[in-house]
Amino acid sequence: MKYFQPQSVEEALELAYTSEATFLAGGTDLVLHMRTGKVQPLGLIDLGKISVLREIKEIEGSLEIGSMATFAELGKSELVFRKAHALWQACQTMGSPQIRNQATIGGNLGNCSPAADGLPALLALGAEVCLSTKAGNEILPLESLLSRTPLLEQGTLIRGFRIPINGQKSGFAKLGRRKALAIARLSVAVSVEMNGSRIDNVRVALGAVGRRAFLSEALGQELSGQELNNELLEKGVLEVQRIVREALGTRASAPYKRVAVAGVFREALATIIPEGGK
Amino acid sequence: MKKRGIGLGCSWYGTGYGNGFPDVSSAFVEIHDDGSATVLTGAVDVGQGSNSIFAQIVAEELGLEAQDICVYSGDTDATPDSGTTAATRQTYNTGNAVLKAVRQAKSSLLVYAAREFSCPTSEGIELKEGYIGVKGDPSRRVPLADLVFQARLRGERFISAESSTARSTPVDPETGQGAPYWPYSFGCQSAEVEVDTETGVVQVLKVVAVHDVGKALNPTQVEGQIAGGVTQGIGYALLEELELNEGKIKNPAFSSYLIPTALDVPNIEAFFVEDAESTGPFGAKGLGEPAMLPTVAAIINAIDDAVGVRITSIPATPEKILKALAEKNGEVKKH
Repeated sequence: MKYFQPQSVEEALELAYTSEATFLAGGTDLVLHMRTGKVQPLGLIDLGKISVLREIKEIEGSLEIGSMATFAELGKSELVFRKAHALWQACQTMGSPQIRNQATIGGNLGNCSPAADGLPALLALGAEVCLSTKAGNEILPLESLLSRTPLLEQGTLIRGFRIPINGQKSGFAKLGRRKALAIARLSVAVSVEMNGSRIDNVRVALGAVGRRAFLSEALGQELSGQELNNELLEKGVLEVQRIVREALGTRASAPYKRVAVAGVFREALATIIPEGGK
Repeated sequence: MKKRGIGLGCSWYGTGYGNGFPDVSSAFVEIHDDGSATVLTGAVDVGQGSNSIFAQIVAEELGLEAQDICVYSGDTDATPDSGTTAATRQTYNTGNAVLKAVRQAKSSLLVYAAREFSCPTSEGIELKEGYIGVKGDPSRRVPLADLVFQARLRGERFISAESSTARSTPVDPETGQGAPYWPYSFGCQSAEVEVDTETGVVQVLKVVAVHDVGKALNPTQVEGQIAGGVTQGIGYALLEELELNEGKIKNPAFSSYLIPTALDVPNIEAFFVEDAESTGPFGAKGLGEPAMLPTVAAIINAIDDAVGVRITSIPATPEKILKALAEKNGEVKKH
């Protein structure tokens, strides 16, 4: 099998076009899938030497995150802590320190596991994805990309994410079987804009309750433009339970998850409104 | 809502193979002319520290330091069989074999030394701090290495082979009576947990563990074995579940068969009670398995104390707890 290590995005795109090889980010999923034979790439294009893909920076009212930024780097970033708190939280609990050192946010999207820890946070924060192919660039909302099948065409590189900075507050919580090295069984990310005691532009995203993480626009609208109080919180709890019930249908995990999501939803909100938690 | 509770678990446990099965350990010992000693035994140290224990036993008997003793273990080409590292038996069983072996080698050493020091009986000879000499007379002693070296030149060697068999009789198949195990180990643990009534997640906040070890030959190891046992007990109570599908294991990997990580393990306070076991080496008995036994009962009782539901199958998963809570609150009818 061929292995490439391009030094620039252009070189990587050219290689993907000519060789039909697969992009390799942190490899924490891809390498395991190769071992089990689940994927059999014709070649690998290691993105690890393209330093521009690792950048985390603030540009013109947006937080820009390169696809090769690792969970450890994001989890230690002051900028991410302040401007994209839900994502920062997701990066604290994903996998273990060793996995966080290796795994990247772009790889999290590329692999697109139902339980991917980074995706609900990015969805709630209103992230856009920047994609590149040899033919050109495309920028689109993450929720739009997640509705595509297949997720990415051959030769498409995830360059990074752009999160609008508009003073939103956000939180993330996940339920795993244990406290570390646990695949999310449920995850919830919430982002709100606070206007006095009113919350606007509420975005709620869920993970591990379907094929892919998703944004619940209905729930966001339901909660937006209202006074943030216990009544609203309880309304949100009932709604999120209903959404999970609908999303899971008759799956074996449904009876548990549709109840337990209440606790996860509250915990995600507790970051935003400490007194609104349990 | 998060609710806290405290639970207690107690255990007694027969150590060794039991029920009349021949439970034999053996050891070879040689005392060398450089003031060191070698132990050969088939007992396998799987990380629990039995090699250290055997070195300590020999050192104690010969008045040496543990680092003066070289333990060769678990080599079927060279070491005498000492059974499995199982049944909480190596410190007690193989410890006894090692102690018998070193005492046998030592007795010929003492007889030789008594002659050298013109002492009427070997009872008057002592081994202390690397020296051998006349009891109570510090002026009449020589380094152990010197004496063994001199003996060697005269064709005398201090080598022994011994074995030890644990006491055990089969139980009467009719009445179930008998004395299948010797000795028994006792322990008690209490656990404090926090149960999330919305998600069913149980977090163990603290475990206090007290175990009767006869005599703690190595207190640090005792503490380590208790911490390890409690950790395994937490996994047993809350996580570990072998899932089968038509006889095939569905979760044959540590990514799907979960055990606790460091973050899942709470503060563990370990205490031990020393009530010397008269048949054990220096009064010691085993602790391996007993350290994990009371943990499950303590955690299940603590869950009951916290939220008032009785979990009757392990692991006590969040699903089972939420289901039991719903049944208790009358939300779901029992089938």
